[in-house]
Amino acid sequence: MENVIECINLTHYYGKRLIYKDLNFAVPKGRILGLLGKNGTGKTTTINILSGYLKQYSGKCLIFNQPANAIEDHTRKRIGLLIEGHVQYQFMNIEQIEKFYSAFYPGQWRRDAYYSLMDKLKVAPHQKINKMSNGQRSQVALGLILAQNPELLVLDDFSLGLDPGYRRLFVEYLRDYAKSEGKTVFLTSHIIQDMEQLIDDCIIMDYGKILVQKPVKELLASIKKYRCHVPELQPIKENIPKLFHPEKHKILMEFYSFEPIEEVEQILHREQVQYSKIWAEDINLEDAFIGLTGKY
Amino acid sequence: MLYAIFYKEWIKTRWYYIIASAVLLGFVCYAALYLNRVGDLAGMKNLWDYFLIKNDSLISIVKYIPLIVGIGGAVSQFAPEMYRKCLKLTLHLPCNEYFLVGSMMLYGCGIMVAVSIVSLTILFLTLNGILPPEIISGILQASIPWFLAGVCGYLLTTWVVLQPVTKKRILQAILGAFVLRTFFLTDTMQAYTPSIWIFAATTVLTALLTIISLNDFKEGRQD
Amino acid sequence: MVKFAKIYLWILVAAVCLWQLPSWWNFLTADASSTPFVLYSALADDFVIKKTVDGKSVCELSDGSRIARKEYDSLLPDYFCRQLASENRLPDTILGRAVSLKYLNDENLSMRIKPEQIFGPQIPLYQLMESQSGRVDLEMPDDVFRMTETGIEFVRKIDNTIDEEKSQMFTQAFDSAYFNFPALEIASNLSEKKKYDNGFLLVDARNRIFNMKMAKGKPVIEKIELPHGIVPRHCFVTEFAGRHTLGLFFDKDNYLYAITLPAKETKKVDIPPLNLEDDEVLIMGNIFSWTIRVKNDKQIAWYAVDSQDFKLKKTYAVDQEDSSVKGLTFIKNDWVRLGWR
Repeated sequence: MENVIECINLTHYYGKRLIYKDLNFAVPKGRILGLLGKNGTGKTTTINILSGYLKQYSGKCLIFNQPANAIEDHTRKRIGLLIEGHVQYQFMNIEQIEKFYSAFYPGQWRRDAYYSLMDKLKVAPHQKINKMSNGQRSQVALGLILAQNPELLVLDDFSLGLDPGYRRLFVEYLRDYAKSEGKTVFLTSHIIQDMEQLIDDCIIMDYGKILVQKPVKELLASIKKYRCHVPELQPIKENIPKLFHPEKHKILMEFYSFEPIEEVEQILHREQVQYSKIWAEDINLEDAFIGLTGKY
Repeated sequence: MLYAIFYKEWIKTRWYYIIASAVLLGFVCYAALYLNRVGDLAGMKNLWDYFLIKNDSLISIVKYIPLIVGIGGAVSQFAPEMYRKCLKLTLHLPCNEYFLVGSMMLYGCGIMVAVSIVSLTILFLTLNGILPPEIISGILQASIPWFLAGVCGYLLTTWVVLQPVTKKRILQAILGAFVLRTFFLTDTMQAYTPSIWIFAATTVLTALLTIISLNDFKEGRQD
Repeated sequence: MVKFAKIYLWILVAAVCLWQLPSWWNFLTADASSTPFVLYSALADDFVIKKTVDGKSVCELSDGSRIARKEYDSLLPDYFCRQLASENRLPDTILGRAVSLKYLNDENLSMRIKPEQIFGPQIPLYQLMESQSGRVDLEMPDDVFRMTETGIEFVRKIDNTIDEEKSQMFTQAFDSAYFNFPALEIASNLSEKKKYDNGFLLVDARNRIFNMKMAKGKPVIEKIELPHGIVPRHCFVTEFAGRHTLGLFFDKDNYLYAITLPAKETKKVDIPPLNLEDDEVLIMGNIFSWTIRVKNDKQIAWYAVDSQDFKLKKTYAVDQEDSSVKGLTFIKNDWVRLGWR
């Protein structure tokens, strides 16, 4: 399948601080990929490199087979960009901003898509964007991207500042649009709720590295949350291979693993962890994210 | 597309430029009125003698106003672009980035140049009846560096505001202040005339500096 | 583009550094230095010098021999005539010439010629005073004039209109004097405080000097005879109280000449050619001699010339101690002009 985005051995530092090293990933055409990670793991850095606003330390980053920092004008027409916090020109109102952007996308601009979303907002046509709530602003930003009708949507932390209602609205609108029109979406988020309904593939990042990169369905089918009973006074053992972030509450220990229960039991034996009664639970994407990245 | 950029800039800055231009033209009209009144009250003879003996333009009240308007214009245009890195939106538009930012600067410079021409025209028309062309020419020549400073101040401020690194921004502002100082070295009429082309060329070339800030922004340089 | 912008940035940085750093360094490290006061004494046939040494004022002759302050005053009886008179020490005769306080005072003269006077910006409008108004004090005229390609044009200050009649009258007077327009040099000494008015010195298109005055509203245009081969450039109307000279001028080779009165004869002042772009000239004269000081960044030279025939009597010079750091400058002779000083 054709890759719309391709990052090869991407490495970046801020000064001497390593953000990540040799990051490799690709976003195939028509897929929705979510780059998930806690704050400071390099999500916005990646988006900035992808959108050409940051020069990477080393490695390659291609969009439509063009280097991200030297994308040609006609290719940029094919990319919709949502900046963190739904930033838009604050001094314009919804009519002015539509009029402004439409001049840059002749032949592809879908005015109706924008106004059909705006109709739901219940804002006066002359209300300035800086007088809108975060939620309303997010809809304006989304409406502009839908009107641009790009082949690739790059969305940086679209959930920032949105209440659950607007977040859900955003996710649903985006999902319907992307799936019905076969669009490719690359997005980041630090809020994992709702992501399960939106993204096809996910990359879960931790500080300096990728923890998991696979389709969400595959991830949720393979990762389990395990619970077992342990002696109350037994100290918790850290760094057990293949078992992630073990935690203990009195006699109940819990951890996460991609391994089946038989294999997990063997690992516990090998690590001389005394336990009784172990069981596995299916988890959602948010739990999987916490299981892999930890609570802290 | 140029129209669209101008449209956006107009929406962003129209109140600033309307008020600032009115203030500048107000000062110019006041200076012209002042000269007329001095002529009426102190006598035209004394007014002419003042120009010929002191070689001073007598309109120094206008001196720093174009510079203030230019600096304010650049801030009103580019500070909102730097708010939460809004400039990314502009640079993401499917046009050459130099064209995009150049168009924004062309808009600001265009207004500054237009207001300067109107100011000089007002001075010329209001003084034409009471003063000989040699003195009017001297007054206009004395004021040209001030209006050039307005444009240069606009361009230097653009360079400073678009710079994403605070330390660099401070150094740029200091350098810019020294550059602008050279436009105000003397009030003597005609003193700048033989070298005005150097100052005009400096002003035009100053537009290039924005490329450095833009490049720093594009490469993601930050504090 | 970025490279070009960076080159331009570094040019600006270099220019600002070359401009500001030397001037700040010179400002912070400058020593208090004073120019010695030097005048030629006809009595001593030598220069007498007053200068500051270790914070104290000392007087000496050009060979360095010290003299007392009273002796110093006595050697310059014309310059210090009021001081000597107040001490009842003013002689009745000096070198055989009978003198009085009023006579010495009237014969003393001083004139300064700065490069910016010659080369600085000037509005090309001039004011011709009435030389014989019948009033004790001179008055600024009610009009100005401009020299055109074909004549002279008077403009009334009151209503900014051309005085056709006066313009025509003066143009005709110029034509009658065979003045060739346009004028290459137009010089006067505009002041209400001067004792009398000698009008303008003008150089016409054929490099001849004319004196223009207005007497009782009528033009007086007179050609000044010049020795063959002299091409005048920069003129100065003197209007000294003693009325022995009409003016001074520098020729194209920067030699100085005096136009004497009443004969209106041109005499060469016997000093070397000057560099008018940089030299500042101060002339202090009396009944016997003129001391001409020529000062520039490198040297101060004093030339003593006879006040009648302008022959050189003596010279004296000191080198300027210039420890200042050179840098970029923007102002020269009142023009904004890039320079290196």
